[in-house]
Amino acid sequence: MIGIKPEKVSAARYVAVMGMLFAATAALNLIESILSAALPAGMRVGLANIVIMAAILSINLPSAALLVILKAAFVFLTRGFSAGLLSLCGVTLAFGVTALLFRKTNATYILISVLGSIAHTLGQLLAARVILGTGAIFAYAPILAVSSIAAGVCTGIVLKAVFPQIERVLKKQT
Amino acid sequence: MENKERKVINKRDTIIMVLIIIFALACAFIPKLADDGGYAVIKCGDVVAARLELNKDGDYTFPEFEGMVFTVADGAISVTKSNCGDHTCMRTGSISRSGEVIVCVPNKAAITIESKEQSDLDVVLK
Repeated sequence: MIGIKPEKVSAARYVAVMGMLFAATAALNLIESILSAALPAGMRVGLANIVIMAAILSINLPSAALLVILKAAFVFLTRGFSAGLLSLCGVTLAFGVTALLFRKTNATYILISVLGSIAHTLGQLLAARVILGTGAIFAYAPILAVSSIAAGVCTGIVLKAVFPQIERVLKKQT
Repeated sequence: MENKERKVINKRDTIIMVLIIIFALACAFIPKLADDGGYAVIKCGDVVAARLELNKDGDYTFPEFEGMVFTVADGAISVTKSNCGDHTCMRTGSISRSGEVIVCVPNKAAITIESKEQSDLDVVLK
């Protein structure tokens, strides 16, 4: 953990916030299982991206990367190998895209969330393509793009409301 | 970029998203205009496991996909039984037009539809 934690934040506070964020990814994962029932091929729109983005904004990049790994490990344990691989590729690509957009552009919260969500489904499609050995699955890309946009708009709004609160909890002096 | 100046949404980004939606919808509806296929091609990885004629009704099983049952009825194919965990392939329903697919990631199964003209017959199952 040393080196990942921002210097101004106390260790206890950091561990507590990271634990809370990881719990949030697990809970969002469960909610998403219900919401994604209508989507084809076990694809997810990536509600847990919201936590990764909040970590990028309110803590730092290494902490967000740690949450990415934890989230994928959680899916490996709860939903099995192929779902875990899909999740790992999706969430890693989404992390890369959102981190880059937040650092380098003035794109709005909603656009970044939308593009992050699209990156999440694209990462899953690429992983599924590797597992299946055929590009047939890309026929799902349009429907996934539309549902990603819907999800991205929601996560963008929630993100803007939530991340300053996480920041406030982290920075608070005792 | 300072996040304090970042906006929730603006005109430029709305236009970008609308363009993505239009593009995606265009891609989604092009396959719907295609004619009915005629053949269902079932692949295991990149190997063609079977080609089924969609006008021959019946239930099919294959050694490559243990526990899966493929059903052809009314010119469409669907997965009616699967041993995978999430049954996403079964929920996809039946497909009949070229461009439509059913996939089962855990079983490495992919079903696509091909029209009669394209298909060079490897095996015809009767």
